[in-house]
Amino acid sequence: MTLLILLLCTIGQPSGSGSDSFSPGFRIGFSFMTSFPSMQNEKDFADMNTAAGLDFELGSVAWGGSLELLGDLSEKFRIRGSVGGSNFSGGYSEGYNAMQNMFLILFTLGLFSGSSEEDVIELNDQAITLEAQAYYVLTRSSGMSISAGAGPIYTFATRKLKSPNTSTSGSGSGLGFVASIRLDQESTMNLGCLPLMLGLEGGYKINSVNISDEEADDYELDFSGPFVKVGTYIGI
Amino acid sequence: MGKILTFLLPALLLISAGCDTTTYPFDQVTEGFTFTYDLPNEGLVDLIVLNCYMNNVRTLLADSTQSSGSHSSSWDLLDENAVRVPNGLYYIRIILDDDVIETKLYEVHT
Repeated sequence: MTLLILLLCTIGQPSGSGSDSFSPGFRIGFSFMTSFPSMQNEKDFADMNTAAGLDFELGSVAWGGSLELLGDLSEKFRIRGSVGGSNFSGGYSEGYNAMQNMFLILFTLGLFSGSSEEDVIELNDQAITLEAQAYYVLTRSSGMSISAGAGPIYTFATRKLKSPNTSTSGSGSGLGFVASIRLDQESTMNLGCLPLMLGLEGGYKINSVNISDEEADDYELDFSGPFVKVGTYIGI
Repeated sequence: MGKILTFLLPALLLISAGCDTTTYPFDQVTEGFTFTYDLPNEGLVDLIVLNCYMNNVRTLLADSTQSSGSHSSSWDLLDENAVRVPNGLYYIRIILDDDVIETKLYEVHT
């Protein structure tokens, strides 16, 4: 993060288009996001599988991305709307016979090698989120701005569990809340013919979803947790 | 050509062998079955079936006093409403004096 801040400070200097005078505008871009969701139920589910004798591995990080629209309403207020998705997964896999793989590689002179692992049980939790956030600009210069904001977040989530002969899925939706701090580049840097601006955001989301299917009986997927996003934007 | 076949034939056999389903650390069931469990000591035993959302779909045994040693029970793949459970993963928990002493995993499919 420190590196990115330094990068923003270095390359974010005015390249002819930046100025101290504020001019309202919008920017659109794409952010990559990583978060550390609570997912307590999925942790308990992984523990139950472990108790049943499976070496069930559950991720601790959710990955995703979002399409974002940022708008400066005034020098001190900024809004953001986005639609994004994230994925959290886990599972149990088995390794192939190492001796068999060795012979396969030898006989085919390295042309074929068996996959080292076979997914036996796959757990995938996916979320599509709609976010709207309002920010107060704490500081703004010709090069960069720092703002803090909060807003609602609506999450559609699905849980898919696949085993060798079965597949179970459930879905639900829920309203949550997000609060964060943004660091935005205020001057463009030219990448070829594209005038780009970078953005960095970190904060905390509170968004859990109850699976509404009868079998699930309101099983909670808790995507709440800290997150970090890095985005690239084009001024429009 | 002969030399190529000499290499390819065993390779293809190995590939097909590698694609064989291995034995999983859980049973795959399509109909009612019997399972066994061991109790380290005498006590109150509960046997419950959980689905993949960790919800109790069937109680096979509740607060039953059993002696230490090997025991068996069966599950007919029905839930509490006597309806066959949907395909999926199910977990049977053996609980002795309120402590889970064993969890068994079954893949129920048609």
